[in-house]
Amino acid sequence: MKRTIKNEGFSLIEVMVAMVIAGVALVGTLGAVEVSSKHVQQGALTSKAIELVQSRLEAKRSVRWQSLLEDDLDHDEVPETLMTDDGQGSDRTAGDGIYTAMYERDGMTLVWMIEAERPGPLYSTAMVTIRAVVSYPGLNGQKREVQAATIRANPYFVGPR
Amino acid sequence: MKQEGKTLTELMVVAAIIGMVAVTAVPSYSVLNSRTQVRCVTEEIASELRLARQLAIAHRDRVRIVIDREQQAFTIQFVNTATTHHAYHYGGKGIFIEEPSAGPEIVFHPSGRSASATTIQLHGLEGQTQKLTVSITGRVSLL
Repeated sequence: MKRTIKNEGFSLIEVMVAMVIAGVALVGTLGAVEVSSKHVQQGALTSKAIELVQSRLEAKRSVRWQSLLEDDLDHDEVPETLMTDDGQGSDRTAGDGIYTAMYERDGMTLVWMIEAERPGPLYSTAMVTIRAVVSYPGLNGQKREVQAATIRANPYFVGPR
Repeated sequence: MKQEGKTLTELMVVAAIIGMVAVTAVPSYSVLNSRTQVRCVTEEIASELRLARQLAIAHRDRVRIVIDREQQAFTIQFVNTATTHHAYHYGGKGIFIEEPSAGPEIVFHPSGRSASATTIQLHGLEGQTQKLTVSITGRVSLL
């Protein structure tokens, strides 16, 4: 009896071509995953930005007036950040009634400021403007900014405005 | 010798199908990003409107917000003293605003009430929409 051996397989060339094609497809897929993860990250940054800004305004609106310039960013009941008046122009000792503080994390820069209606100490002003601005890098390298502001009246203010 | 292979046409068809799948996949990523972007800008605008209302109450003056869709800006003005408080620019934030339902001006009275109820429609680049309403009582809400 004659036995015929039939070799039905793929040649090395065919297998290699298939592997190359699979490789190219894989690289493309990985690229797509990378792009999508970048977009998702950007979306997360954007949500985080507006959240940071609003929480800062909320904190400043609810804190006691006497500790308006203090911030407890790490929530350990001890205020560790103090908003400071950076002076008028180059004169750092002359107060212009604008107190600022800054906080940086995850590539986001959060700046918040309290602006008195007129220059001078905070207890003598009738109203302050609370402003928060966060800037973070966008998808194509440009800087994105999110900001919000609110006003708050001085509960201890006596006198005409 | 019999050659059983794929013709160029078949290969091209496969490549075209892969291409189409890739093309349909790409914009959905920017949709992800664009939705949060629209939401974020809407929050910012809502914050501007709330600030305008607070200013009206605090300064006992009417406050007008003029929406200039050509300059892509919101200008907040005191009506009686005819002074501009500040302007908010939304240009470059990837957003398009429709003409508000009650015209391009929103006025807050010193009582905190709004002159007319208004709905503002915001559109993202990928077609997401976000609605912002100012009720007659002056409440600003995102829908």
